[in-house]
Amino acid sequence: MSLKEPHPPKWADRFLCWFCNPKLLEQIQGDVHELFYWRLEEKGVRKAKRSFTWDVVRLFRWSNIKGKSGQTQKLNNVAMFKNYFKIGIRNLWKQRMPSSINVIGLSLAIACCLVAFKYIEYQLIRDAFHEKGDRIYLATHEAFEENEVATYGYLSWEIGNRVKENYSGVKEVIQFNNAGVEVKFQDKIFSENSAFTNKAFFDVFSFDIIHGDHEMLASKDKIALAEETSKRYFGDEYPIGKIVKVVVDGKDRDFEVAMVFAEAPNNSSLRAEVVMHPDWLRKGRDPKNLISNFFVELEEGVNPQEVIGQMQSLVEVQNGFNLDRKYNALGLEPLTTMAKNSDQIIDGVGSTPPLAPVILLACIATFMLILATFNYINIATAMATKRVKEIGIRKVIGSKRGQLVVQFLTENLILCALAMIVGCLLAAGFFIPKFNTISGSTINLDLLHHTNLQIFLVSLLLFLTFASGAYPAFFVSKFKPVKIFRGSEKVGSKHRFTMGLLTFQFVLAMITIVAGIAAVQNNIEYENQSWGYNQNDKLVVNLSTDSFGSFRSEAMKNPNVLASAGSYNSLNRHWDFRNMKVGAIESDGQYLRSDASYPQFMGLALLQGRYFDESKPGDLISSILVNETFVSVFQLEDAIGTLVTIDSTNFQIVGVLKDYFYSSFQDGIEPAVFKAEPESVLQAITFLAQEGKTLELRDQLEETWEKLYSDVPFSAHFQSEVREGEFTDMRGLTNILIFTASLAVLLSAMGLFGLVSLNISAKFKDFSIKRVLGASAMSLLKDVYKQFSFILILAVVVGSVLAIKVVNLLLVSVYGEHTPVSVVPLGLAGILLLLIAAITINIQMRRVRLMNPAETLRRD
Amino acid sequence: MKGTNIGELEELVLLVIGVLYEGAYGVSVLKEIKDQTGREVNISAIHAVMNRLEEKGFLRSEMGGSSSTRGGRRKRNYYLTSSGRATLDQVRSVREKLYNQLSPSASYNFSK
Repeated sequence: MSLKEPHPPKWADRFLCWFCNPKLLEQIQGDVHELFYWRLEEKGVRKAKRSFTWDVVRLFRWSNIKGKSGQTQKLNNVAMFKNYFKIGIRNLWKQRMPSSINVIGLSLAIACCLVAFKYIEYQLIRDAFHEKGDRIYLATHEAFEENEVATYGYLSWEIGNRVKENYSGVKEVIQFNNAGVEVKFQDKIFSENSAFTNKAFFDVFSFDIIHGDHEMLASKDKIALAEETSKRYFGDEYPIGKIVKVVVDGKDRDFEVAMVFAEAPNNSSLRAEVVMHPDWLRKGRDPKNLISNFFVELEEGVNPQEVIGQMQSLVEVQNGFNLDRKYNALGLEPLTTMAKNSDQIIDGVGSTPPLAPVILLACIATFMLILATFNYINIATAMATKRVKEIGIRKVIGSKRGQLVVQFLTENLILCALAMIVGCLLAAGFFIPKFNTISGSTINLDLLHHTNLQIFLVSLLLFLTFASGAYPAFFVSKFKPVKIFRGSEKVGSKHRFTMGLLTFQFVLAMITIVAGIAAVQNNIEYENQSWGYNQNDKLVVNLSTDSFGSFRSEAMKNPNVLASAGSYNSLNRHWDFRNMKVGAIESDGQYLRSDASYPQFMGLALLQGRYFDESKPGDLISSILVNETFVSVFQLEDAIGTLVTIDSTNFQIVGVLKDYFYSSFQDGIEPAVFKAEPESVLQAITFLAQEGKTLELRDQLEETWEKLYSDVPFSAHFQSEVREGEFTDMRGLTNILIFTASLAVLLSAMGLFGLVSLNISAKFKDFSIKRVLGASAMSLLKDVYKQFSFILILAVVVGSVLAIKVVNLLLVSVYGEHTPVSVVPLGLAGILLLLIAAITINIQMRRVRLMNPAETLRRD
Repeated sequence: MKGTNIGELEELVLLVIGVLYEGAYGVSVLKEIKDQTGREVNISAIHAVMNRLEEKGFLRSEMGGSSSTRGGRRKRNYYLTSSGRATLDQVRSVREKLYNQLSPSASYNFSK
């Protein structure tokens, strides 16, 4: 016989212990073991083992499985959980400092997550609030244009109208056009976004009707207003039956307000302030030549594929009209995916949500969550090691490890729930309002009515409880009671894991700080970048061609005005892309119309040729100035004198301008053209004010304006502020990044603070004895420093390397061309982090310096 | 009379427990069945049957001694109760009654 006696397969034995009802376990296990040794003698090891396994598997039957007859044991569970709760709350209170660090850290992270969740949901889930949303489709067609087949989100009116007439399964077809209209009410003019659609629009889409009846919209002379719009016009008066004027075909027409509807939620692709009858858009034209978006509502349970199949017959109808537009196929795009796919559907409804901010916010939230969770794991582990005696006693009394784990997780749940409440308050009271002002969105926290949010909160709570609580719970429940009471269990010696987490935290903090600093740096450079022209001291007044001459001559009398120039549209406030052709090369370019002096007046530098010359009659007809990019795009060797075809008219280049930014810096520079125009088409005057007098000038000009034209509001802007929106966005982003960095630093510093504090508490007696024996506070400090300095320096180094990669990626997506992360932000971030860490450790060391060794040593 | 009817394996186990008289527990029953009939029954089946018979009141059990091969675990000893004995008697009498009515000529006609 071999020395090692064969045993039954361990795993099978364990499996049996696991599943078997404890009441039956003894006899069953005894039997199978006895059988095993009997078979061992008769049949050999292998067969015995196999049979043993087989027996165990066969014993795995309902009557033997745990719990069936263990009912009496569970009666105490409620009391047990009550006890867990009580102990948990007592413990939180007893260890206030680390607990509050945990709660604050977690709640900050939760608040970040809530903002990210709300924003991401708002961006990604569009048009989901319509009750019939799953049956509504946007009608599309495929057509061949510019050498490729593309999907278009509109149909001709004629085809759209036929969809409803001809097909079974189609319940309703809604024609929908958006266009700007001018509404006049009591001498005031409002520019509104109007929807031209049929009255069934309100049957199909779930927009709440506040006053009136949408059936009335069948009449051409009735219109509907959005609630906010109606309030703007009528204040608190009852709007139904009121008359407003809308400019149709250049003439004012009276319309009666028949209905007021609630504003569309932010994530709606369909929005309108005014709803009007579609005939006003048609103006008697042939419906074959008009296009519109069409929404199709299908009958319940109808397969859209069938309807699409039927609709194909309309392709021939359209192509039979002998128009330029030939359809290849018709299709239906679900309402709910319409916005998401809008980059593939040309001229559809809705726009794709911007991905960059979504990703950025998701990253920030994840960062915060990781930081807070790691904090929690570290501190909870250290906290729990103070309770080893309790664990030992519980184990001796008969607690199983599983029960201890449940106990710790329960305590964890209490803490996480607390953090969740604080986090929600933080988010609702501070994070979300701040975020709204920065990002211009209007998200809010509606806990009671938002199912997705509730699901998110509950799953976040569970996730946090397990992610943060699992390791500490398993770690402390592993201790053996014998070792605990003998004092040989070296609690808190498992430093490697804790220190690893701390390092990771500081790496994250490092990355966020670098991102913040780099963003600030880039922002400053971005705003100070030259615009390519002189934007200072210039006031632009928008007016009409009629008032141009008279206002200009009146304004020039003002002593604050140094000079003026007229234009059709002013720099950075225009967007007029036109097709341009030189020889065989074709490209789109900006087209800006102004008087002859405008380019020079705005300070655009001339590279070649000359500016416009008013005295030359041809300059107002066929001369243009182009920018450098124009020359390079059209590959012109000698630009001056070259003929350019713009919209089938020929122009001659007389001068080349240095590149300037006609739009945001990110948009880059494309070919741009200046065309001189006679005064009769100009609609804006740019005044050059005396230095520092622009504000004064605006007020004076406003007075002048009101004297001349009291019925039209004065409209003016400073040239230096035309890009304010762009800069505000950038500053908002920078602010978010700085805020993230501060949060990350705060969280990791709190983590460090907690760890150092617990570390010192554990060694307090050591320190006291050392003090008594004459150690200086400095030498005691060195011990603690030594422990943490290595990981801090490691974190700074690793963080720097990662930050260069991550932050550059971020900067590319935000600024395009950017100053790469250099030594400056890295150094600054490193110093900042080390400084904060040093301060954190020092605060804790104060306790050591101020302690009275006698007191500490007397205590136990 | 439902409840007193027992299956074939149940009858066998009941008989074996009666035969073993004292010292009938899972493994000994299994071995006895193997020795006496040559049938190899899985231990899980034996346990299930014995539990069922105990529920029906034909057996009673108590925890007994342990042995080293069991790793110090006690065994559960089973004893035949009077109702168990009565059931065995009844089953036997039904069998014999039927057996005695067998026509000798019918059953030895192997050619068909």
